[in-house]
Amino acid sequence: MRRTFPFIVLIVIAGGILWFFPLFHVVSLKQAQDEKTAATFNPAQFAENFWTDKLLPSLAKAVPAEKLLPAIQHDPANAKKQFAHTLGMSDSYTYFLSGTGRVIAVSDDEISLALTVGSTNDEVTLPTGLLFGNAVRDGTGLLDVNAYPNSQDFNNIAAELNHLVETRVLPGLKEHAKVGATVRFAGCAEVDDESTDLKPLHVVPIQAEVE
Amino acid sequence: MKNYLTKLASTLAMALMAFTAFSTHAADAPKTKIAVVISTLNNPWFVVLAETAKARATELGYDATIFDSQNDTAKEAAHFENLIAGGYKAVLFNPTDANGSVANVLKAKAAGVPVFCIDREINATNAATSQMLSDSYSGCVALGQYFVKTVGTEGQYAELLGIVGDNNTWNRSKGFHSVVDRFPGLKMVAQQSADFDRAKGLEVFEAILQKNPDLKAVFCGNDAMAMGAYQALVAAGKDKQVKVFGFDGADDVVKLIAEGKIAATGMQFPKLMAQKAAEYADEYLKGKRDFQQKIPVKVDLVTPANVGKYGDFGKK
Amino acid sequence: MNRKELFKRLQPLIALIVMVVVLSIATGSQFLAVSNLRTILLQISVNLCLSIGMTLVILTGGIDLSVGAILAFAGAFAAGLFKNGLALSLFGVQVQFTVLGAVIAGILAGAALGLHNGLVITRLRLPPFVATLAMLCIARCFAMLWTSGHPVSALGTKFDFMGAGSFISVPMAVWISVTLAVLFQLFSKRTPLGRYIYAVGGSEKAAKFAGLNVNNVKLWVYTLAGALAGVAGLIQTARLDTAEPNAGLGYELDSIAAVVIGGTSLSGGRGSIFGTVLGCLIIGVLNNGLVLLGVSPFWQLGIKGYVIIAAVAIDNMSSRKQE
Repeated sequence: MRRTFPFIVLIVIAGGILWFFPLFHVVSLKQAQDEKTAATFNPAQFAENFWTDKLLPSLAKAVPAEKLLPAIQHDPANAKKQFAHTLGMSDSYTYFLSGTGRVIAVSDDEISLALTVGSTNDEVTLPTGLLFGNAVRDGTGLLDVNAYPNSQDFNNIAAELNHLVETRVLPGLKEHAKVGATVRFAGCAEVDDESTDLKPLHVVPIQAEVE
Repeated sequence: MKNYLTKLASTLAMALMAFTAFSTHAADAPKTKIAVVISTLNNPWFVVLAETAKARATELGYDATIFDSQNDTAKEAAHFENLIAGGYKAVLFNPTDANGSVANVLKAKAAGVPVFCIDREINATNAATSQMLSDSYSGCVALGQYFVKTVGTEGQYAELLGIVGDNNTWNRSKGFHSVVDRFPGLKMVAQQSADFDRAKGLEVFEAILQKNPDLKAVFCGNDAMAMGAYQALVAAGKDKQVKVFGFDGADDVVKLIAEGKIAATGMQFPKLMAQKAAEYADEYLKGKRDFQQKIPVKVDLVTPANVGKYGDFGKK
Repeated sequence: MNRKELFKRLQPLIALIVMVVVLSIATGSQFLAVSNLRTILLQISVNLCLSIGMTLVILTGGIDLSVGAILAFAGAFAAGLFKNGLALSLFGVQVQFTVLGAVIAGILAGAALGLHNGLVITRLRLPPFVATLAMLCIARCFAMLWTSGHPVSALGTKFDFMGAGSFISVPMAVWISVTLAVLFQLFSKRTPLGRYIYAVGGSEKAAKFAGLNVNNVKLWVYTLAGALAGVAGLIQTARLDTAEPNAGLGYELDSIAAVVIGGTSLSGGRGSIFGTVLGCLIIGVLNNGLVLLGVSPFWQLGIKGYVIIAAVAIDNMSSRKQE
């Protein structure tokens, strides 16, 4: 008993210290996982909110195609300076435009429109296949790359926005757009560099209504 | 005892002479000092980045020194402490770790030394003065689209990853997969890391080739590994069967693209970024303060169709 | 201690003083600035912890090539436990470690790997070079597996206090490493186990003859070296706010250099922790001075090599004189 007594005292003191200075906490697995998801950036949720709150309301500000396309033909460099957005250091740029056109051709992955307002020579195409790239994210200039410390978040937003277009806009377009139909559209067109053919512009539609 | 003392004294005298020799070298014209802290000098791409930055800074009238972090955040921290103590006025910085390097940049910021990140980012927007970053993800999205176009929508392919702990490795892989994974006919039969190293790329890919004789293509996280994979293919006589895709824009790969032997690569612009960073540092030291925090630099897709425009780590 | 031995002990100190004087003249106020001296002490703190353990190992006539890898694993282990906790899906709970818990876990992890070294050396009778060379790979493998190859970062100020915080304007890392140096100096000279370490290094046969349990001494020494490597790993992780699985590459060489420059003999039995502290300071002052003088980093490596040669040559000359 004499020999074990100091041992017991030691354990009690150690227990006391560990109570105030614990080595670890035990929490339920579910709680820990919930905390983790709450803290991480959710690109799908962000893209959804952005789409509804900021993107759709901004469509009114898109440049009308009947104004943009002649400007590009007349002086592409000036049109780029006036209407286009460029992300960082790059030769690529994006236009944000809206217009109305008549469907003249339908293929597996795109629909060609001849504009019905303004000059009827102008054409645009709306891609209907898989979407890649940053047109929708960068075209409106509403998102600021400086606000995202981790650029992977910024990249994920582009992927999610493309996904929203694929699931919300393209199905209706593919189903109803037949040759001869009229389509009112608003969207973003990405231009790769100065050697890219600017006719026709490939416009990723944020909104497309077939009449 | 006397003999021993003279030996000791002579050794120390030699050290003293060596130090004074070096110190007279350092006591030349007192130009403003700029530090170029690079993640590693073991990779030719980074050597180009570092030397261009140093050359441009020297052109602009500064005394530029290159510090090699050897892919080690601890060495990088030591460099930052030493350069702050050594009176360097600006840092052109290629970080080793997007999270781990933030502390170092904050240290410099606290000491009033502006930091300009080149090529790789740090996961903070309030530390560096400006960050010039290769948009690797988007570059690999474009590469992935070209991959599907040239390889088709059916077939087996392999992937060689870079250093597993490096953000760039995953940016590139994710960009590539965001396109290629949408095509279920394209099956990835192997994904191995070759540490961005040419010799390791050769070794690893030889093993993959052995195991998968019907391979149609390989995507490599950088051009050094792509060269290694290409040499493995030549040795096995399969260079016509398997298409090689790289990333970086290294000279040797661009040449092979021109000859139609390698399918494509992504041209990062190390010289452009390095020069811009040096110029920004110069502007800062002359008083400018409003810099864009993040400046993505587009990575151009280089294919046999447009290879004539590219060479020497940039546009011709 | 006669005059010759005293002089030999003080060699590293004399070399250090000479270097400090030369550098102060060559760089002016830059070297002697308080912030710069503080930086030097901070930068040698990790190497100092490693070198204390390495001194004990070398004093027994052994060597430990795995300290760098153990540093990486211990740092990553502690950081992982602190940041992500331990998910025990069998019980449906997550164990979240506090700073204290993670620190103790890290040190114990280092001690465990050190004990592994000791057991391989004493039970399997493998030479220390071979046993610790193997552990270098094994510990690195554990570090990679634990972190899946990614660095563990953004640990927060509570954890980082160990490395980046200060107490009465002396950095915590310096407090920790210097305190450990003092404790182990006393341990090696004043406690029985400490004296046994010297005895085993002097002559293993004689020690065994005198009834010492040589195997136990060795086990202790390698376990302590592992634990100290764990402390070094914690300091480094806290300083950098990140635990990298490939941290500590080549650190064993720097710590062996510090031990050797400090006057400890590689054959064992002679030397002291105090000498090792001087060795660390010499390397730290050298590194810092060469950077302040603007010497190319490639040259710095070569100069370090020659300093090691000079230190050991002078050491050999004086001991040969004694014979």
